[in-house]
Amino acid sequence: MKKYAYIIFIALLIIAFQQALVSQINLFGVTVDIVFVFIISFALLRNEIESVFLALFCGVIRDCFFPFLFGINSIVYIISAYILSQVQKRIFKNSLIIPVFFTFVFTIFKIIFYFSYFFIASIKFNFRLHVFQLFILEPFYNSLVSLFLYRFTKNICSKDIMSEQWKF
Amino acid sequence: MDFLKNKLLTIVLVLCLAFTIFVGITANKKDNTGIIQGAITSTITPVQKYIYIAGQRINNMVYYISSITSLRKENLRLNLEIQNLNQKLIEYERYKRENEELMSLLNLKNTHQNTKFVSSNVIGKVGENWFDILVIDVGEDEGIKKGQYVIASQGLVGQVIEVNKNTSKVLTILDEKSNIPGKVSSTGEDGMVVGEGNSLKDKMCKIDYLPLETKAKPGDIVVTSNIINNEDILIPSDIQIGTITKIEEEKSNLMNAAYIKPSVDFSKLQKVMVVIK
Repeated sequence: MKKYAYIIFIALLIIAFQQALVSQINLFGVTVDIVFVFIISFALLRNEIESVFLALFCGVIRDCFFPFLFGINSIVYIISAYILSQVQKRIFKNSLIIPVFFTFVFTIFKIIFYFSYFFIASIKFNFRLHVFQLFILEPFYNSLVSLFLYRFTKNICSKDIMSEQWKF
Repeated sequence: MDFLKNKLLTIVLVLCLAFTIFVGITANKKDNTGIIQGAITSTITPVQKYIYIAGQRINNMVYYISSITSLRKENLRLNLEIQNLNQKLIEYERYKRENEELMSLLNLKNTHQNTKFVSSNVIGKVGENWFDILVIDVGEDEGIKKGQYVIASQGLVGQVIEVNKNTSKVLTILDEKSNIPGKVSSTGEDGMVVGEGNSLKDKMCKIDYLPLETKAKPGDIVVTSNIINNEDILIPSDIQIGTITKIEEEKSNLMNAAYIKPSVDFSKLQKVMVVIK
């Protein structure tokens, strides 16, 4: 249980940082989503229950602050965390290319997902004008940030509190 | 734990379904408020407030260092502006006196309304890259209602769209979804102020539906207008939105649109005020 309290604490800190600080910094009108990058890095390092738990927790909080709709962030985060935690068992991940690649792919997946849900909820966007910013800049920024955040997550996961207990 | 591991796929699918239903419910009323949202936002708010203030301090420090070189030039410019404004002030006093005298002669009631303000702190920016939304730390308890205008010392910031118990969300004028009635102060032409959020450079807004033969020119000031009437809330008029930088003809609509540079610097917002009745 201590482990989950620790995860919750880190998640709260990262969400507060994202909403108060990181969302202020924008380059060419696009901001980085460090919560999403953190969830991806976490899913690549830990088992599936912990990653889905983290995704659910972060998603619900992010949704409370989201305008108009409740639930989009949670769905995107949970699906990404589940798929990645299934994939990470089958790949060799001793390289920094892996988190960068997956962040890029899943950010694009996230954008498509958001757009389709906004379309269903009849919140109209001029898609043609957003294409460049969303499909090129945001995945690029996110994967750049994942280089640093992956190491940070690795440090967090190597703490004593996070170690797996063996059961016989 | 083993049970969870075996059934994780089912749990994930059930959760997705449940959240899709939530999306459906909230999309129907276009309003993401409730007990759960209120509770969670008010628990995170205190932490976020301090981080936001710290970030603003760092931002101010960077701004201070980078602005040292241009201080002298700005000082000269501001001195000139003060001289101009002083001249205008004398004129203004005269007009004001005249206006009062004429008003009293005609027995007209003074139309100037008394407005009340609730001051609040900005505690964050949400909505990712899709929306331009600020979170402020006042809510239902302080008498905030949906649709009220939010202003800073320099001008209009936006409109309240969602109210929780202790926090509310403000849709800024930079967002595409914001539709605020405005008018060009020099010509009195009405229009609709919308955001132009997708520009790669500085974010701007623009005023639509200006007539084709408009006399507005770059440099004119755009202010809010109380052309709409709402019983519950007060729509203040003559709050500065920004200055026109460029006028563009929209041939397809047979209308003119003017691009506006907002007078509020959205990267340095700390204290804002909500206009209440």
